[in-house]
Amino acid sequence: MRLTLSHVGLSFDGAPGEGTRALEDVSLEVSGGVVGLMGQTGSGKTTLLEVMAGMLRPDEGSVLVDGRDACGAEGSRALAGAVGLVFQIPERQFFEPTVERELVFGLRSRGLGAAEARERAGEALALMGLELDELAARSPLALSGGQQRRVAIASVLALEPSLLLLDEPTAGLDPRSRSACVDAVRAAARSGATVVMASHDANVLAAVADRVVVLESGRVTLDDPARELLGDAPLMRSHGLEPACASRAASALRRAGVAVEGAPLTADELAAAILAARGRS
Amino acid sequence: MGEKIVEARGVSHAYVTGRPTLRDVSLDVAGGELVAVVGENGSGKTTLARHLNALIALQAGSLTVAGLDASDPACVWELRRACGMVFQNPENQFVSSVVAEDVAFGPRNFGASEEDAAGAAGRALEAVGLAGFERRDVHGLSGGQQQRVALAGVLACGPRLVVLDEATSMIDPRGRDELARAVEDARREHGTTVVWITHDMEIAGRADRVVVMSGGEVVAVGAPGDVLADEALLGRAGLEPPLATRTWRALERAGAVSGPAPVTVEGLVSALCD
Repeated sequence: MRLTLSHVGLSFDGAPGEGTRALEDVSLEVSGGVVGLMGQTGSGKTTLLEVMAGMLRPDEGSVLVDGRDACGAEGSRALAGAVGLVFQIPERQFFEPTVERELVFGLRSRGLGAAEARERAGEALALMGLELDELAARSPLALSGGQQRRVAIASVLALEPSLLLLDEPTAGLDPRSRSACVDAVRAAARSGATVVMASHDANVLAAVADRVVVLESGRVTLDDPARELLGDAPLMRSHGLEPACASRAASALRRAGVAVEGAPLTADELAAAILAARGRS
Repeated sequence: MGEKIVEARGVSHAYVTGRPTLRDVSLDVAGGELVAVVGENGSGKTTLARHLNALIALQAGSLTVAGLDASDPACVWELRRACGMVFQNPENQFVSSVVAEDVAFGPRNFGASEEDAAGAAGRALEAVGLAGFERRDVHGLSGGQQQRVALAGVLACGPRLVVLDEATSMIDPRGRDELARAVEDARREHGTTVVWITHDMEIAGRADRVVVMSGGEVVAVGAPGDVLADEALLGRAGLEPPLATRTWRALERAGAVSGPAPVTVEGLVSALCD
């Protein structure tokens, strides 16, 4: 799915052009792969995802879904059938009394039979490291925070959306669940989905994103290949972002006189860069 | 160990599903300590935290917090004053949309006069670096500022112990650093004891001690340098060591370094350069 945003602007609490400006002149095209969305709290990431999902209509500019106006009848139908959105606060998207009913709701709404819906729900939940048999009858609101988040992600993954939007999906997840989430997002992208994922965590985006877009006060200020941007600690800091841990460590080592080259983003890459620096000295 | 602020012995708990979420947990926390609690999702961290200020009633074992018996209903009021909690989502704990009113709510609720409550709120806001924010709308603040308002609301009650339950997972890195500094200031100035539940190994690496939970049990307690460098232990608990430790291990495998593994970036730099 190709989503094209041109000069999108949006204000809250006021008439168009007044109130709090949440998005300002945002132009972006996303089509396949995983796009990471970074920016400080309040920079407009969630608003942008909601515009992409068709939940908010911009005051200015246009959103096209495969060339059709997302606000028109045809375009909004196409978008509604294709989009999957994982909310930042998962408990706000739950509305069914049990985990199983929560997971199969979307699938059943799309016409799947009970058995097939349950099977797909179980598979999606297993991707997130949880067992449907174990949780089926529990209330989603009675689960731990990490379990809630994984159920919310699974309920969206089960729909196999061609536009997958995730708002801080790994916040509060332990390393194992975080890496399950990263694997599931990569798998969705490999199978053709367009993925946009908002995250503060440069370490997670280093593992999953092809490209990173940075928002500041509602404007796009950077839009670069992920490795190029995430490996540039000074550039990230200058935009108020925290670089990946390996990138920060590389900067600290350089300051201490170790001539680490390149842009390491993982522990193994950092170790290799340290060994290379030692080999040169 | 000096004065014990937390003394838990054989604490066990099960929710209505019957599955135990805490199993025979024993833990001491000394006054002024910063103890990080790490563990995978569902390991019992939040259930343990909620016992500390009596949000969950004790089912088995014994627990005292600041000398108050958590199993004694007569102590619950005082215990909640002694132990304040900061939750994951700050919006879930605001009771007023105006900063000063929200922060003063706690002391007023514990019986302070309007004047004393306002004074406590002002001091707490100053302690977290938010003096001048009194009349602001909490919903118009950044995530880090909101969490500091939540922390101020807790500090205004004069707690002996502050429990932070994943308090940085929903805020940006700048907000995380702001909160960490505010917590450090509270410890330095008031000797506040802190139990910090986190997935962030960088925060855990700066604690005095680290507690590892798995399957409702405390499986390790020790200095960050011992616990966080133990890859096998963390692996069994579904966790991974901090980046500094993983980098050190990779260098070790290549025969380039030896000796104790660092657990923080600063530790890695000094181990490689000193």
